[in-house]
Amino acid sequence: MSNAIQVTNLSKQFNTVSVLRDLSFTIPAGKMSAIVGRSGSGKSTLLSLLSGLDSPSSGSVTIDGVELGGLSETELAKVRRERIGIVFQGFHLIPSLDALANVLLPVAFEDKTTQAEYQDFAKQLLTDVELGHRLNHRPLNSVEANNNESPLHAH
Amino acid sequence: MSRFHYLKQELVYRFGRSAVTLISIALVVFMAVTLTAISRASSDALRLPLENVGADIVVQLSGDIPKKLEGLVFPHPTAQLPADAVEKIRKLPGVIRTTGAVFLWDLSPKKFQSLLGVDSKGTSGIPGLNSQLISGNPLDPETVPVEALVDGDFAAKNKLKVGDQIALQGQSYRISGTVDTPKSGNIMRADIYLPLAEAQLLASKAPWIIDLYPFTQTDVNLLFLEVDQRHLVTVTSAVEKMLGEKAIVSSEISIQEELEDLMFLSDQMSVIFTAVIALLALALLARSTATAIGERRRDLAVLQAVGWTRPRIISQLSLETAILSGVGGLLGLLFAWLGIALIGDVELAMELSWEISPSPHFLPETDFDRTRMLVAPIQMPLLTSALAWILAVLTAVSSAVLAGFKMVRPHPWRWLAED
Repeated sequence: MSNAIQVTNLSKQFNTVSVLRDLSFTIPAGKMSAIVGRSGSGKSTLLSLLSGLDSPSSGSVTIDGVELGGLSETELAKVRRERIGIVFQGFHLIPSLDALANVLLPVAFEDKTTQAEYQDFAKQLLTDVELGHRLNHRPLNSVEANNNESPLHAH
Repeated sequence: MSRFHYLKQELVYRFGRSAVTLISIALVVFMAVTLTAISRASSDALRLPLENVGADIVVQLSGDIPKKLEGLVFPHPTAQLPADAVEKIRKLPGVIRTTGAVFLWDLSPKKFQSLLGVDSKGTSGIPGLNSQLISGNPLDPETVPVEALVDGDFAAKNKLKVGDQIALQGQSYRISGTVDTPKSGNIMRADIYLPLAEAQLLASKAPWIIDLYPFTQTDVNLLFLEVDQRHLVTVTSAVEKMLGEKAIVSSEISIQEELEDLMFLSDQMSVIFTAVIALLALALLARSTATAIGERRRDLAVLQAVGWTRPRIISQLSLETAILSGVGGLLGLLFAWLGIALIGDVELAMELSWEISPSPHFLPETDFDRTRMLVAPIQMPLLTSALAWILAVLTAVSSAVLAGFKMVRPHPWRWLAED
């Protein structure tokens, strides 16, 4: 079984505060893993590095055999668009768009045929997470503030 | 869900912000275009006197004051022009045509009237005068006995009508018609107009004129020159040199010199106005665009998180801004057009010097007001409008691009973690 995620000697430091230090692990493809820890232990920081949303102070992150540190900005965006899904702890949705459009954001620049294909797929995903009845609801109107359930789960 | 759907939703959902940006740009364009239009109209108004001079050059000679101000006299700035000088002026290179005239005052204890004897040819002569006929018949220099034309205002003030007789130095003249000379820039304004030969005859017999000058029936005290524009400066200099210190040579050049400061200030104000407004407007526009984009930094980070590249995000922001600023600019042009249509004209009160006034300045103040209202229509400045619109759009889009580059960082976690 190949590794979906490989982390090698990963460290992250904010000014003088060292959040992650020399971290190494692998997560095999097709396997569900959970990272647990106390509040402030660096879970969110680790996820930001795994998703390429932040850069490590040292070490490397490899996703599906692609080492993120060696990618250009555009290549990194492509990896985020095509290989990584993330559910934010916060409430990160585009408020002007409804649930379906939020899910379809990654393909907004694709051609019409591709967009049509993804539209059905996105509807199915939202239905799967029991948001099928809220496809055209905007986030602020349809999702309660304390509800962590958001359309991005489906992405 | 295409990028255009997102664009539309963004503009509609954030209606308040879109409307504020739209109105800001509209106001900026409106102010820039309207103030430029008013400023230009003011400059145009100041140039109006130049268009009313008529002849290219008016030649006069300053003279002496008669011992007694009674009967027909020459006003002192219109003394007799020496015949040999007139002949030399006619032959100067660049002089196309000369038109002589005789200007006189008719003074009595109870009455004052001015008289102009005009040549039978030229736009400064009888044809120009007859073109401003209000009533009656045109002046025909061949008619016997000789007839006169009178100024419309003068006729109304003195209750004169066509067919009435008017007396000058004991001689009676039938009024053939009335004219509206203020409308004609080509004719010096007087109360009564006679054929030149008749005015010369009267002047040659007037006691207080012949007391000062050897005036004959072929002399004149005013000379209008039509000049090839390429020779305007050389002819003006030659005439001044020929007639000496007492020469009064009025031309576009002398008027320009007189109005230079005023027009320079007006033009300068126009440029300063436009520059200040443009800079202020563009700075405000750039700031408001950057602020609007700055407020969306979390949204931009979300777009990055789902895989939008920096060029895609910036192109999206640029497109939004271009649409807002484009529509806002057009709205501003519409406001400006309506504003200009409502304001209509620029009116400036200006005291004219005698050189550019249709009447001489030495008339009694009670009878003559040299203040002239210069009225110029305010017109939509098309080039400025186009430039204002283009500049507004370019500034807004450039600000969006710059703000986009600033906000969209390679690693957007910082913006996401903040919330």
